[in-house]
Amino acid sequence: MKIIVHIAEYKIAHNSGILLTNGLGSCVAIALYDGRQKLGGLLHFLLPDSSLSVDVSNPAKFADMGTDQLVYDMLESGANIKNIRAKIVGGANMFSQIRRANYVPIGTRNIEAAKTNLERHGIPIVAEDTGKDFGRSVEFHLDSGILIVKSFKMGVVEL
Amino acid sequence: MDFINLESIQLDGIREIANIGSGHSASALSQIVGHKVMINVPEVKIIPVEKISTLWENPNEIITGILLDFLGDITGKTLLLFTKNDAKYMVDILLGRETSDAMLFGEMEQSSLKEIANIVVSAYLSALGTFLELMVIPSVPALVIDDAASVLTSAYLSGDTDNIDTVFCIKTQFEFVQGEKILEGYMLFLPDTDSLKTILKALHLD
Repeated sequence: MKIIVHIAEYKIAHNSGILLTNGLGSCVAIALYDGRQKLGGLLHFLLPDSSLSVDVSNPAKFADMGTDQLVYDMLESGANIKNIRAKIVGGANMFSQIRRANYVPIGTRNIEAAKTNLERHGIPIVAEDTGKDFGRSVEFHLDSGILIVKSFKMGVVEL
Repeated sequence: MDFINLESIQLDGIREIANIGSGHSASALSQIVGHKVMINVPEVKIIPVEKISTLWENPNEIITGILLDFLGDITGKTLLLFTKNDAKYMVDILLGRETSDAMLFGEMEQSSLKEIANIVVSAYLSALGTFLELMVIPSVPALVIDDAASVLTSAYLSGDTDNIDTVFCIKTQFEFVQGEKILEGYMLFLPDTDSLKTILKALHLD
Protein backbone atom coordinates (compact mmCIF):
# COMPACT_ATOMS: atom_id res chain seq x y z
CA MET A 1 0.00 0.00 0.00
CA LYS A 2 1.31 3.43 -0.95
CA ILE A 3 0.89 6.23 1.53
CA ILE A 4 1.48 9.76 0.27
CA VAL A 5 3.34 12.23 2.46
CA HIS A 6 2.61 15.79 1.31
CA ILE A 7 4.80 18.84 1.77
CA ALA A 8 5.05 19.72 5.48
CA GLU A 9 3.72 16.34 6.60
CA TYR A 10 5.10 13.17 8.12
CA LYS A 11 3.72 9.64 8.20
CA ILE A 12 4.69 6.43 9.90
CA ALA A 13 4.05 2.91 8.57
CA HIS A 14 5.42 -0.60 8.83
CA ASN A 15 5.88 -4.00 7.14
CA SER A 16 4.99 -3.97 3.46
CA GLY A 17 3.93 -0.35 3.09
CA ILE A 18 5.51 2.28 0.86
CA LEU A 19 5.78 5.88 1.96
CA LEU A 20 5.84 8.24 -0.99
CA THR A 21 6.71 11.92 -1.27
CA ASN A 22 6.99 14.18 -4.35
CA GLY A 23 8.20 17.66 -5.13
CA LEU A 24 11.38 17.79 -3.08
CA GLY A 25 13.13 20.86 -4.43
CA SER A 26 14.82 22.83 -1.69
CA CYS A 27 12.77 20.79 0.82
CA VAL A 28 14.37 17.81 2.57
CA ALA A 29 12.90 14.39 3.32
CA ILE A 30 14.10 12.54 6.41
CA ALA A 31 13.46 8.79 6.35
CA LEU A 32 13.85 7.01 9.69
CA TYR A 33 13.94 3.22 9.80
CA ASP A 34 14.02 0.63 12.56
CA GLY A 35 14.99 -2.50 10.60
CA ARG A 36 14.15 -4.94 13.42
CA GLN A 37 10.57 -3.73 13.63
CA LYS A 38 10.36 -2.94 9.89
CA LEU A 39 9.00 0.38 11.06
CA GLY A 40 9.65 3.58 9.17
CA GLY A 41 8.71 7.24 9.17
CA LEU A 42 9.04 9.88 6.48
CA LEU A 43 9.10 13.66 7.03
CA HIS A 44 8.96 16.22 4.20
CA PHE A 45 9.95 19.56 5.69
CA LEU A 46 10.21 23.01 4.08
CA LEU A 47 12.26 25.18 6.39
CA PRO A 48 15.41 24.72 8.50
CA ASP A 49 14.16 26.32 11.69
CA SER A 50 10.82 27.13 13.32
CA SER A 51 12.22 30.48 14.50
CA LEU A 52 11.91 31.72 10.88
CA SER A 53 8.14 31.50 11.06
CA VAL A 54 5.32 33.29 12.79
CA ASP A 55 2.99 30.34 12.35
CA VAL A 56 4.39 27.22 14.04
CA SER A 57 1.11 25.32 14.31
CA ASN A 58 2.41 22.59 11.99
CA PRO A 59 5.66 21.05 13.32
CA ALA A 60 6.23 19.09 10.09
CA LYS A 61 7.04 22.34 8.26
CA PHE A 62 10.37 22.62 10.08
CA ALA A 63 13.53 20.54 10.48
CA ASP A 64 13.73 21.06 14.25
CA MET A 65 10.11 20.53 15.34
CA GLY A 66 9.45 18.00 12.58
CA THR A 67 12.36 15.76 13.57
CA ASP A 68 11.31 15.87 17.23
CA GLN A 69 7.75 14.90 16.33
CA LEU A 70 8.82 12.15 13.93
CA VAL A 71 11.25 10.60 16.44
CA TYR A 72 8.64 10.81 19.22
CA ASP A 73 6.00 9.06 17.11
CA MET A 74 8.49 6.38 15.96
CA LEU A 75 9.25 5.58 19.62
CA GLU A 76 5.54 5.61 20.49
CA SER A 77 4.96 3.12 17.68
CA GLY A 78 7.50 0.75 19.19
CA ALA A 79 10.84 1.69 17.60
CA ASN A 80 14.02 1.43 19.63
CA ILE A 81 16.10 4.63 19.43
CA LYS A 82 19.30 2.54 19.25
CA ASN A 83 18.09 0.79 16.09
CA ILE A 84 16.88 3.83 14.18
CA ARG A 85 18.88 4.79 11.08
CA ALA A 86 18.29 7.83 8.89
CA LYS A 87 18.52 8.61 5.19
CA ILE A 88 18.08 12.11 3.84
CA VAL A 89 17.08 13.32 0.37
CA GLY A 90 16.59 16.75 -1.25
CA GLY A 91 17.87 20.20 -0.38
CA ALA A 92 18.49 21.27 -3.97
CA ASN A 93 19.44 24.78 -4.97
CA MET A 94 17.41 24.90 -8.16
CA PHE A 95 17.80 28.56 -8.96
CA SER A 96 21.56 28.70 -8.51
CA GLN A 97 21.81 30.77 -11.70
CA ILE A 98 20.64 33.86 -9.79
CA ARG A 99 23.67 34.85 -7.74
CA ARG A 100 22.99 36.59 -4.49
CA ALA A 101 25.63 38.13 -2.25
CA ASN A 102 26.09 36.67 1.26
CA TYR A 103 23.28 34.24 0.76
CA VAL A 104 23.22 30.60 1.81
CA PRO A 105 20.56 28.82 -0.28
CA ILE A 106 17.57 27.47 1.63
CA GLY A 107 18.28 23.95 0.32
CA THR A 108 21.78 23.98 1.81
CA ARG A 109 20.42 25.27 5.11
CA ASN A 110 17.78 22.52 5.10
CA ILE A 111 20.42 19.78 4.65
CA GLU A 112 22.51 21.23 7.49
CA ALA A 113 19.42 21.46 9.70
CA ALA A 114 18.45 17.84 8.99
CA LYS A 115 21.93 16.69 10.01
CA THR A 116 22.09 18.85 13.15
CA ASN A 117 18.69 17.71 14.37
CA LEU A 118 19.35 14.01 13.72
CA GLU A 119 22.65 14.30 15.56
CA ARG A 120 20.80 15.89 18.47
CA HIS A 121 18.76 12.68 18.73
CA GLY A 122 21.85 10.50 18.26
CA ILE A 123 20.49 9.00 15.03
CA PRO A 124 23.18 8.10 12.46
CA ILE A 125 22.72 9.03 8.79
CA VAL A 126 23.56 5.98 6.67
CA ALA A 127 22.85 7.40 3.21
CA GLU A 128 21.98 10.66 1.49
CA ASP A 129 21.17 12.07 -1.93
CA THR A 130 21.21 15.81 -1.37
CA GLY A 131 22.08 19.18 -2.87
CA LYS A 132 22.69 19.85 -6.59
CA ASP A 133 20.06 21.69 -8.62
CA PHE A 134 17.15 19.39 -9.34
CA GLY A 135 13.87 18.19 -7.82
CA ARG A 136 13.41 14.67 -6.47
CA SER A 137 10.74 12.25 -5.32
CA VAL A 138 11.14 9.41 -2.82
CA GLU A 139 9.62 5.96 -2.42
CA PHE A 140 10.44 4.48 0.98
CA HIS A 141 9.99 0.68 0.97
CA LEU A 142 9.33 -0.45 4.51
CA ASP A 143 9.97 -4.16 4.01
CA SER A 144 13.61 -3.43 3.13
CA GLY A 145 14.30 0.14 4.26
CA ILE A 146 15.36 0.97 0.70
CA LEU A 147 14.68 4.42 -0.74
CA ILE A 148 14.04 4.79 -4.46
CA VAL A 149 14.92 8.37 -5.41
CA LYS A 150 13.54 9.57 -8.75
CA SER A 151 14.32 12.78 -10.60
CA PHE A 152 13.67 14.17 -14.05
CA LYS A 153 17.37 14.96 -14.41
CA MET A 154 19.07 11.85 -12.99
CA GLY A 155 16.47 9.10 -13.39
CA VAL A 156 16.26 6.46 -10.66
CA VAL A 157 18.75 6.04 -7.81
CA GLU A 158 18.55 3.42 -5.07
CA LEU A 159 19.54 4.53 -1.61
CA MET B 1 0.55 42.86 7.11
CA ASP B 2 -2.34 40.49 7.42
CA PHE B 3 -3.05 39.27 3.89
CA ILE B 4 -6.31 37.61 4.89
CA ASN B 5 -7.78 40.94 5.89
CA LEU B 6 -7.14 42.87 2.69
CA GLU B 7 -10.31 44.73 1.82
CA SER B 8 -12.06 44.00 -1.44
CA ILE B 9 -11.29 47.50 -2.76
CA GLN B 10 -7.59 46.80 -2.14
CA LEU B 11 -7.82 43.47 -3.96
CA ASP B 12 -9.60 45.21 -6.86
CA GLY B 13 -6.81 47.76 -7.07
CA ILE B 14 -4.16 45.05 -7.10
CA ARG B 15 -6.02 43.08 -9.77
CA GLU B 16 -6.33 46.23 -11.84
CA ILE B 17 -2.60 46.99 -11.88
CA ALA B 18 -1.93 43.32 -12.63
CA ASN B 19 -4.31 43.69 -15.54
CA ILE B 20 -2.32 46.63 -16.87
CA GLY B 21 0.93 44.70 -16.48
CA SER B 22 -0.47 41.56 -18.09
CA GLY B 23 -1.91 43.53 -21.00
CA HIS B 24 1.55 44.83 -21.86
CA SER B 25 3.02 41.35 -21.38
CA ALA B 26 0.43 39.84 -23.69
CA SER B 27 1.17 42.32 -26.49
CA ALA B 28 4.91 41.73 -26.06
CA LEU B 29 4.35 37.98 -26.25
CA SER B 30 2.07 38.30 -29.28
CA GLN B 31 4.81 40.22 -31.11
CA ILE B 32 7.22 37.37 -30.44
CA VAL B 33 4.92 34.55 -31.50
CA GLY B 34 3.02 36.40 -34.21
CA HIS B 35 -0.36 35.43 -32.83
CA LYS B 36 -2.98 37.11 -30.76
CA VAL B 37 -2.37 36.31 -27.10
CA MET B 38 -5.32 36.18 -24.73
CA ILE B 39 -5.12 36.85 -21.01
CA ASN B 40 -7.62 36.08 -18.31
CA VAL B 41 -8.53 38.36 -15.43
CA PRO B 42 -5.65 38.16 -12.95
CA GLU B 43 -6.44 36.17 -9.83
CA VAL B 44 -5.15 37.08 -6.39
CA LYS B 45 -4.04 33.93 -4.56
CA ILE B 46 -3.29 33.94 -0.85
CA ILE B 47 -2.19 30.47 0.22
CA PRO B 48 -0.07 28.79 2.90
CA VAL B 49 3.45 28.15 1.63
CA GLU B 50 3.05 24.37 1.93
CA LYS B 51 0.18 24.52 -0.58
CA ILE B 52 2.09 26.54 -3.18
CA SER B 53 2.26 23.56 -5.55
CA THR B 54 -1.53 23.89 -6.03
CA LEU B 55 -0.76 26.87 -8.30
CA TRP B 56 -0.09 24.28 -11.01
CA GLU B 57 -2.85 21.76 -11.70
CA ASN B 58 -0.67 18.63 -11.71
CA PRO B 59 2.22 19.13 -9.26
CA ASN B 60 4.16 16.17 -10.71
CA GLU B 61 4.15 17.49 -14.28
CA ILE B 62 7.51 18.49 -15.77
CA ILE B 63 7.38 22.21 -16.49
CA THR B 64 9.69 25.07 -17.36
CA GLY B 65 9.93 27.79 -14.75
CA ILE B 66 11.71 31.07 -15.36
CA LEU B 67 12.37 33.12 -12.25
CA LEU B 68 13.21 36.81 -12.27
CA ASP B 69 13.70 38.82 -9.11
CA PHE B 70 12.73 42.45 -9.28
CA LEU B 71 14.19 45.32 -7.33
CA GLY B 72 13.98 49.09 -7.06
CA ASP B 73 11.18 50.83 -5.15
CA ILE B 74 9.46 47.46 -4.83
CA THR B 75 11.02 44.00 -4.54
CA GLY B 76 9.83 40.47 -5.11
CA LYS B 77 9.76 37.72 -7.70
CA THR B 78 8.08 36.88 -10.95
CA LEU B 79 7.76 33.33 -12.18
CA LEU B 80 6.76 32.39 -15.70
CA LEU B 81 5.49 28.83 -16.14
CA PHE B 82 4.86 26.70 -19.23
CA THR B 83 4.56 22.99 -19.82
CA LYS B 84 7.74 21.66 -21.34
CA ASN B 85 5.95 21.00 -24.64
CA ASP B 86 4.48 24.48 -24.90
CA ALA B 87 7.81 26.08 -24.05
CA LYS B 88 9.43 24.08 -26.84
CA TYR B 89 6.75 25.13 -29.34
CA MET B 90 7.19 28.77 -28.39
CA VAL B 91 10.96 28.55 -28.82
CA ASP B 92 10.49 26.92 -32.23
CA ILE B 93 8.25 29.81 -33.31
CA LEU B 94 10.74 32.36 -32.00
CA LEU B 95 13.62 30.69 -33.84
CA GLY B 96 11.49 30.47 -37.00
CA ARG B 97 11.80 26.74 -37.42
CA GLU B 98 9.40 23.88 -37.99
CA THR B 99 7.71 22.91 -34.76
CA SER B 100 8.63 19.36 -33.94
CA ASP B 101 7.97 16.93 -31.16
CA ALA B 102 11.68 16.46 -30.59
CA MET B 103 12.09 17.28 -26.92
CA LEU B 104 15.69 18.45 -27.09
CA PHE B 105 16.21 21.41 -24.80
CA GLY B 106 19.76 22.58 -25.47
CA GLU B 107 21.63 25.81 -24.77
CA MET B 108 19.96 27.56 -27.70
CA GLU B 109 16.45 26.64 -26.58
CA GLN B 110 17.16 27.57 -22.98
CA SER B 111 18.53 31.00 -23.77
CA SER B 112 15.66 31.69 -26.19
CA LEU B 113 13.17 30.83 -23.47
CA LYS B 114 14.96 33.12 -21.01
CA GLU B 115 14.81 35.87 -23.62
CA ILE B 116 11.05 35.38 -23.99
CA ALA B 117 10.70 35.61 -20.21
CA ASN B 118 12.83 38.74 -20.16
CA ILE B 119 10.60 40.47 -22.68
CA VAL B 120 7.31 39.35 -21.11
CA VAL B 121 8.32 40.18 -17.54
CA SER B 122 9.99 43.49 -18.43
CA ALA B 123 6.81 44.59 -20.23
CA TYR B 124 4.77 43.71 -17.14
CA LEU B 125 7.08 45.43 -14.68
CA SER B 126 7.65 48.59 -16.70
CA ALA B 127 3.91 49.07 -17.24
CA LEU B 128 3.40 48.60 -13.51
CA GLY B 129 6.24 50.99 -12.68
CA THR B 130 4.99 53.68 -15.04
CA PHE B 131 1.45 53.45 -13.72
CA LEU B 132 2.48 53.50 -10.05
CA GLU B 133 5.37 55.94 -10.59
CA LEU B 134 7.77 53.49 -8.99
CA MET B 135 11.12 52.23 -10.21
CA VAL B 136 11.07 48.48 -10.88
CA ILE B 137 14.02 46.62 -12.44
CA PRO B 138 14.10 42.90 -13.30
CA SER B 139 17.12 40.70 -12.58
CA VAL B 140 18.61 38.27 -15.11
CA PRO B 141 16.35 35.24 -15.57
CA ALA B 142 17.05 31.78 -14.17
CA LEU B 143 15.49 28.78 -15.92
CA VAL B 144 14.73 25.34 -14.53
CA ILE B 145 13.00 22.35 -16.10
CA ASP B 146 11.62 20.09 -13.39
CA ASP B 147 8.47 18.92 -11.61
CA ALA B 148 6.00 21.71 -10.83
CA ALA B 149 5.97 21.19 -7.04
CA SER B 150 9.77 21.45 -6.77
CA VAL B 151 9.89 24.46 -9.09
CA LEU B 152 7.19 26.39 -7.20
CA THR B 153 8.39 25.78 -3.63
CA SER B 154 12.05 26.30 -4.47
CA ALA B 155 11.35 29.48 -6.43
CA TYR B 156 9.31 30.96 -3.61
CA LEU B 157 11.87 30.13 -0.93
CA SER B 158 14.93 31.19 -2.95
CA GLY B 159 16.55 34.45 -1.91
CA ASP B 160 15.10 36.60 0.83
CA THR B 161 11.42 35.94 1.28
CA ASP B 162 9.97 38.26 3.89
CA ASN B 163 6.77 36.30 4.40
CA ILE B 164 7.75 32.68 4.67
CA ASP B 165 4.35 31.35 5.84
CA THR B 166 1.87 32.84 3.41
CA VAL B 167 2.22 33.25 -0.34
CA PHE B 168 0.69 36.36 -1.85
CA CYS B 169 0.53 35.92 -5.58
CA ILE B 170 -1.17 37.44 -8.59
CA LYS B 171 -1.65 34.81 -11.25
CA THR B 172 -2.33 35.59 -14.90
CA GLN B 173 -3.01 33.01 -17.58
CA PHE B 174 -1.78 33.54 -21.16
CA GLU B 175 -3.23 31.60 -24.03
CA PHE B 176 -2.73 31.54 -27.78
CA VAL B 177 -3.68 29.25 -30.63
CA GLN B 178 -0.96 27.77 -32.82
CA GLY B 179 -2.43 25.60 -35.56
CA GLU B 180 -4.50 22.99 -33.79
CA LYS B 181 -2.72 23.53 -30.52
CA ILE B 182 -3.65 25.84 -27.68
CA LEU B 183 -0.55 27.00 -25.86
CA GLU B 184 -0.87 28.38 -22.39
CA GLY B 185 1.32 29.74 -19.70
CA TYR B 186 1.11 31.43 -16.36
CA MET B 187 2.79 34.46 -14.94
CA LEU B 188 3.04 34.76 -11.17
CA PHE B 189 3.76 38.13 -9.61
CA LEU B 190 5.01 37.72 -6.04
CA PRO B 191 5.70 41.04 -4.31
CA ASP B 192 7.40 41.08 -0.90
CA THR B 193 5.10 42.09 1.95
CA ASP B 194 6.65 45.56 2.34
CA SER B 195 6.35 46.10 -1.40
CA LEU B 196 2.69 45.16 -1.34
CA LYS B 197 2.24 47.97 1.17
CA THR B 198 4.18 50.33 -1.14
CA ILE B 199 1.93 49.36 -4.05
CA LEU B 200 -1.24 49.96 -2.02
CA LYS B 201 0.14 53.31 -0.91
CA ALA B 202 0.87 54.30 -4.52
CA LEU B 203 -2.74 53.40 -5.31
CA HIS B 204 -3.95 55.48 -2.33
CA LEU B 205 -5.52 52.33 -0.94
CA ASP B 206 -3.44 51.97 2.23
